[in-house]
Amino acid sequence: MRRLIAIKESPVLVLCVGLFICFAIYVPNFLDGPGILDDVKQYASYAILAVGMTLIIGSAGIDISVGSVLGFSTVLFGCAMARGMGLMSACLAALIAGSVWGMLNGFFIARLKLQPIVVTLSSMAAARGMAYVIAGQGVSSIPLPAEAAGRVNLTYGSYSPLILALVVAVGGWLVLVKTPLGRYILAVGSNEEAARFSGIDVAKTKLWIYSITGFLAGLAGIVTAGMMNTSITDAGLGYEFEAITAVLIGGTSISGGEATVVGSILGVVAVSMLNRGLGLMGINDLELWRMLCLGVILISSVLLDQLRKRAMSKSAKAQAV
Amino acid sequence: MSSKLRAVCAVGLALIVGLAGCGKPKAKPEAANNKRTIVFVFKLVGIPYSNACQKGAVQAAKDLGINVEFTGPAKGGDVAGQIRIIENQISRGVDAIVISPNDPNSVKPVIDKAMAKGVKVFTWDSDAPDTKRIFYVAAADDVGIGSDIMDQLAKDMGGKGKVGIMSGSQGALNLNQHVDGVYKALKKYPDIKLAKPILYNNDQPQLAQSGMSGLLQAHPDLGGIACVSSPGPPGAARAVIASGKTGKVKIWGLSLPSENRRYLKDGVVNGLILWDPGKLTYLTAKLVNDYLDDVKPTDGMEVENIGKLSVSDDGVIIMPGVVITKENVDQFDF
Amino acid sequence: MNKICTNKIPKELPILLFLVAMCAALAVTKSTFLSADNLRAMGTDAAGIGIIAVGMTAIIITGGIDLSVAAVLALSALVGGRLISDGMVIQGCAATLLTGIGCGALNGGLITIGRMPPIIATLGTLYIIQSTATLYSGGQAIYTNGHIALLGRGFIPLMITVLVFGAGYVLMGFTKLGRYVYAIGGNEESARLAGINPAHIKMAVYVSAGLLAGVAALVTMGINNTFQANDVPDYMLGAIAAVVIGGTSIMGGEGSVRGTMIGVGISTVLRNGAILVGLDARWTQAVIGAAIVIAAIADRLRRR
Repeated sequence: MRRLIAIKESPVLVLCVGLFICFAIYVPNFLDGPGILDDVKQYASYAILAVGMTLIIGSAGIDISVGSVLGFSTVLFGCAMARGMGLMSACLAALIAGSVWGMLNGFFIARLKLQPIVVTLSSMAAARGMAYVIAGQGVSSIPLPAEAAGRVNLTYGSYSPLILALVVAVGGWLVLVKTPLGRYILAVGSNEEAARFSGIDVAKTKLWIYSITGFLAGLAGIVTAGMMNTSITDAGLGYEFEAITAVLIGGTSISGGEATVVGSILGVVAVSMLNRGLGLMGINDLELWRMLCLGVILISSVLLDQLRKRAMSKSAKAQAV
Repeated sequence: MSSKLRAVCAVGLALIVGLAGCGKPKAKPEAANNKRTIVFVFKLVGIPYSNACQKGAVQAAKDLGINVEFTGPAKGGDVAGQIRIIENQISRGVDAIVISPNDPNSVKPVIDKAMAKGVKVFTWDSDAPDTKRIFYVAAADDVGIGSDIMDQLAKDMGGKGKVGIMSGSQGALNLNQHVDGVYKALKKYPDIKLAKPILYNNDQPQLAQSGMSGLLQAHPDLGGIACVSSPGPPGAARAVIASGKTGKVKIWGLSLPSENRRYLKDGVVNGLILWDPGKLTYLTAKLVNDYLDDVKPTDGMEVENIGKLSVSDDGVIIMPGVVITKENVDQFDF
Repeated sequence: MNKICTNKIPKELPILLFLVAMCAALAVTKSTFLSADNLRAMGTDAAGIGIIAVGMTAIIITGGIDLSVAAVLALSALVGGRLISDGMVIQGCAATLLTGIGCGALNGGLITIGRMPPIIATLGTLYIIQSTATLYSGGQAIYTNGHIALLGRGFIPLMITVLVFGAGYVLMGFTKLGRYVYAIGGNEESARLAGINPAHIKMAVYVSAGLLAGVAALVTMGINNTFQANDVPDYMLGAIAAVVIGGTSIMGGEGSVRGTMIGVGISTVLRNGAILVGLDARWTQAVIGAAIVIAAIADRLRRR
């Protein structure tokens, strides 16, 4: 029991298992094998964003521009494809674009020491605006060229977005747990001043994490374009808050210093299960109920986390005695 | 320690996914009451237009003795959300899905997949032409609505003057097509000049009003405005009233009568181009139900309360639309 | 300490200059910019965001944030609006304000009693309150049938906004409550040691912000004569942007209602100016983004 309490992912794990059991019992069709992966797959780009967001929130920062950066990259990808660029170079362009937005965020935050929410609020507006600009007047959707679309339709049936998201998740987990960068991120998150004194290059660390997140937003942009068969100027609208929600449900602390990629992914899984479960119940106005549940879950999982921490400090005290 | 804990979590995750994979499909939910289920997927729920559609859907369920459900994304322009919802309905195994796509290209893979899995897919309100959808029920084509608005406006402006355009969000495909229609019609009137910039209200009444106020300042000689999304006409009307230009600036647009009744009667809004969303949805439910009973729609068929339908070879079914002015606004209750 | 070295130059000077420069450029190039008509239109445009931005300023100074504010506005408008449309104007207005206060108390409760970080608590209530508002109204628009049209007429929205700003300025700048708000934002622990109860102060701040969302709801309904659950989603980020452009630090303890007023002015003038000069709407968002960063950099330079 004590061990279970010590895991920071335990609230989200309880949530996932609870949701799963409830839905499995009460919702017919919930366990239909291929269907569940199709539903989870819709959350691939959202999971990719959540991994980047975990690193950022772990460093006590925040990035509300990821949705817009996703939109910008997807449009750039579409424009490049439409102009006859190859698949590889279009992907490269989208990834570079995402990284550049991230680097810009990082530069303003790390070098000019502006507040993360201010900088990313501004790039949120700017990236969306630039997406409209490069798409052209009155263009809301840039269809992929026929041969590319054919390939994309093939991939739509496959689970490649899901696999990609898993690869990103494993990568994020490795970075956070196994590399010096991960240690720096958490050090900066728990106490920036102390991190600086212990010789960590705080500015460089921040520049890195915002760039990584931008890169991931670019990647999510490509995934989105692929899954939608087209590049949409409004793609990723509102994803920033959904990604933040998943990260927070997952047990990453908003004040930094404590982060878990596994938890964030479980957060995404919980949200996607909620979506599937409610969807299969055949409720009218499903999305509104989903939002309502999401709010309740977010609040209760954080309250649960506090209980966990209280129990932990109690048991620590008991041990000390 | 820490790695052990992580291993526990990983096992948990694997358990969930694994269980999901091993589970066996259970009976369809509809089996319980043996009724046919048709699901309408809106562009956006929780707005007056979708509500008016829902009334028609509820009525159809009653009259036809089937289950009619409605769902859709809760935020505007949520293309991914809509696909997610359709996927959901496929795994649920409903009989038919009727979609008003936020984007025609984006739903292609999921529509084709649904058809392959035996779920019949139709579109209404907005089309996805290059897909395997069976037919599309509409009140008018998207470009045509824009042209109609501009034609009516030009008539009221006497064929000359300066005209503005107000749309909703910059990313909405059908609105961009309405705007294209306005442009197209504008070419017929050499004496009407376009007042820049095009306003976008993001479907928010406040922005509709402040945008229009700005345009009136930028172009004091503005003679009319073509609004292609529903907060447009009432928002523009409020701005025109506030600047005392009632009657000098003509307003035509796409909007609900209930939102504009007062402005139509006061002569601020000159007219609306619309169809009855409830009837459109009712008609769609009926045609889909007939189709599932192997009765296919034919060109020129008469439908009670609605009128003559035109059915083209590519499966586009057009229901006659209406022009709403102050004379007939009280006949409409939506 | 910080106060002494910045006393010579008012903190808000850089952004004020930015606003003045923008207005001057517009006034010179566009004669209609300063017309009564245009000023009235801008005042009406600024009202909703302006009113909630005052509450947001106080919240951010305590080191918190309120992501639910636009949802609170929507729910209170719909709850009260139903009564107003039936002709029960007084009861309706009261219901609107009380709903705002109730939602504010919910946020405050979660943050003080539940000890939740504000961003999480209000993200949660954003989801809950927004979907409740839509479900409660069934997605229908309510019509106030001109019963509170007075609130939206002429310069009245602007006057209400200015009044709210005045009240906020006095409360934050010249009262004990205001000093406490700055104190707990600056350092909650030392404020506690100085005998201030942070929970009480925070509760007061979130409840006032809820009340202001209610006021903004009434003004918005007065202006639009109608309200629908999805009408104001941009207000939340709009208000936060105005506050941070105004130089209030998101870390808390520092900022001013004056600055927020300038911030609201900048975003309103930007929106209006973009249309006056005929800027293609595609560029407007990019320009707004750039303006936020420029304001932030200006503020940063002042501190050096």
